[in-house]
Amino acid sequence: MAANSWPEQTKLINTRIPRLDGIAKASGKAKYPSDERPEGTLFGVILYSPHPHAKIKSIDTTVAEKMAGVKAIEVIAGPGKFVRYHGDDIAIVAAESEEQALDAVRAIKVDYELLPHAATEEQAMAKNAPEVVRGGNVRKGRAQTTGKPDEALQKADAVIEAAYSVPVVTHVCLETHGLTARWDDKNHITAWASTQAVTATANELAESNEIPVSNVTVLTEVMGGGFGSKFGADIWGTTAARLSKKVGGRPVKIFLDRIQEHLAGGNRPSASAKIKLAGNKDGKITGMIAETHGTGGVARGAQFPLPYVYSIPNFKREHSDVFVNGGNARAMRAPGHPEGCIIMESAIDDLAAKLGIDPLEIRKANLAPGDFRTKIYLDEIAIGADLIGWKQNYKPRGTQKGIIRRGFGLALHQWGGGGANDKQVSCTISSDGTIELKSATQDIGTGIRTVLAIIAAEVFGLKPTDIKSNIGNSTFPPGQSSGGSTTTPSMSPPCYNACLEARDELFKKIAPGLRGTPPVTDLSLADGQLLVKGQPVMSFKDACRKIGMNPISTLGKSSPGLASNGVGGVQFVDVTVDMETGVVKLNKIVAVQDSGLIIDKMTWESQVYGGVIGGLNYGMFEERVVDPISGRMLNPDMELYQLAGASDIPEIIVHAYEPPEQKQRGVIGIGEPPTIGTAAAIGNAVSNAIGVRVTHWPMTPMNVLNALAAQEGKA
Amino acid sequence: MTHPDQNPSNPESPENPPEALQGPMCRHLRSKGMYVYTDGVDMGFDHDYDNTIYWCLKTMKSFGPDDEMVEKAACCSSDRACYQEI
Repeated sequence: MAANSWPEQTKLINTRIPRLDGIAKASGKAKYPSDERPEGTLFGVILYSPHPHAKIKSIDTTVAEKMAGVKAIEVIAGPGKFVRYHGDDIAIVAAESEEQALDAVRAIKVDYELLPHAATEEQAMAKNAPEVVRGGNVRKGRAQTTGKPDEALQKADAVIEAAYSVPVVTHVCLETHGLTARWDDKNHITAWASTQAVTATANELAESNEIPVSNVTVLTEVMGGGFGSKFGADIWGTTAARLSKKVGGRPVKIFLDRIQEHLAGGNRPSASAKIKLAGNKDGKITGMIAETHGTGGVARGAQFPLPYVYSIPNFKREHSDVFVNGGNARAMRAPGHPEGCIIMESAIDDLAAKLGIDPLEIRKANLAPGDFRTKIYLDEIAIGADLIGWKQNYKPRGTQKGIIRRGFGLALHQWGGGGANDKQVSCTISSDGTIELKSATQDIGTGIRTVLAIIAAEVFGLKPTDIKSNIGNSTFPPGQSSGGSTTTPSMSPPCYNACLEARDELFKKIAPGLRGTPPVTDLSLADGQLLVKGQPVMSFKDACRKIGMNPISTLGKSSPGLASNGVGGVQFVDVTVDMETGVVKLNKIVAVQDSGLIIDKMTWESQVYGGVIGGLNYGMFEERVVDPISGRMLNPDMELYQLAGASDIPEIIVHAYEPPEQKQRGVIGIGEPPTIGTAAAIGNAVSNAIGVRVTHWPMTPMNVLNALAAQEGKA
Repeated sequence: MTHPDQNPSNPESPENPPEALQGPMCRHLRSKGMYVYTDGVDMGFDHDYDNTIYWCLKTMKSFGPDDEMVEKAACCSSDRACYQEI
């Protein structure tokens, strides 16, 4: 029978367990999809558009086709087709070596009809702007209105009127997008893909090649990050399969280079807001009016939640997606939430400063009545304040003097993180004592392989290293695509149920053969031993020998009570700012995070650290810079597209909020939440230090100095 | 599964109803949400932040074979030459 709760006493669950593939990954032994070189592999190199907007008049591949090593060329954008951004795909060459393919790409002649472009939001929103998308470059979303916001603003004790903005940032996965595809015969494809969804990738390779999905095997043993940008086969994957077919089935490998990754691998949309926020002296927010927009390039996706976290009785908001000639958005870790968090948390902080209220207190005063998260937030704020030393260190905005100033800020966030209930895990016990799990999910770095092994080891009284935790194969039982922090809550329940059922089946099979034929209710497993009435009688392996030659195999499904949905979280930041240079130094970040029952505290902490570091990159460094004249991205590399180095990363204190009632909620995902609030909290800490709001992210010296200059009327 | 953004602290009262769909989605329309939220979450609302970025299986791009943008509201009508009912 399926379980409806996790065991109260555990030996492994909720402890710190190193990830099973940690040494392999750290030592370089792990073979990533981009490392795979099946015999006969050809290398695909992409010809992409140097122009932000053009029509292809003609494309001539005849010279390239005859070059040394070239085996096939696939044209993606032929005559009459449009390219809509710098980096848009035109053709892909498959050759014996990457260098030969690159040479051939250079030999392809393309005649472009250059078209006017709108590569920035200003250009796209201008009167008579070139049309990026038919129907106009500005797509208005549904207006939201609650209560009487205009009246609320008139009656409030204080109103702040501000504009905040955060730029487009690009996906920077360690392993770039791509896959290697091979036609095994005329009806079957095998692909080694860097994907967050082996089943989705199989689905798309099958559909695009018109073969049954059961004829496609997608393998992702490990992969180097996706953060929302690696769902499906992509144009590069489907083209690799087409090229492989053209060359008689030889594997074709197409992975983006770093420049293409910035241009075409996806991005988080920008966000801009003009906002009025009103409140009273008691700290209660009474109303908000906001106009927001953002761009996802040649796609939508720029919507974000606002109001965010806080309860605002009267509000009005209008949002527009703006289309520009730029690489299109893809989901990026907590889609929409970091943007919404920055806008909301900046406005509430500015209102607190105007009202002369402690930023902690205004937040506590505006949590949603009746929301289950409210008590969690109050507890987390208290814990975080203690860990950052708020009471001892916080000084109101604008009260500091001197060149070097210290500031403190905080931000609250929220996420869902619930699991799907239709996923499966198989568990097989062989007579040699091998325990093997299988599911068509994949580890995008969160540690799900280890989490599944921990659950199985808990049930069977073994060590996690005793479990063969097999994932990353699309032909396994249906597993969760890794997005929205859903993998662990989707996969843990079916894993637990599969293991419980297999263990019970084992007991049923071996009990009659044991001395005294004990009832199965007397049997248990612990420390690698079979126990009868709590006493060890033989090793687990010896017990398994008694099942005979046919393995025990079960297929676990989800059941209610093992997973839940909805988390809060708060982050505090301590910064030092040099008022002369505008340089911001992060001193400390505190992340207090709830997420139900934590299966593996070590991989959980790893997720929070990673989320915070991603968030501080967003807050401090990242920005896609586009030249409005050429329409090209100016920093598609790892030199000018800035990310934190080791010395930029401060002390990070991770605190798991897990009172007993949290553990009783069951498993909730943690991938998204810890990256949401960091950039907002950094912005608030900087403003607290320098006495003025830096309205545009990231917190670069230029943006800090611009804010100081604006305060002095020099901007 | 409850969608991550179904948040009781952020009630929305849209002045306009959700965009009306003229028919079933095209079989070639894809989004991340279709692969992640598999147990029937209604997709396409403005607050559904995961699910406003679409691609077409025919082109693997955000524009379809007809060079028009792909999205849920635009890919549910046989008026579009490339439309194929699911």
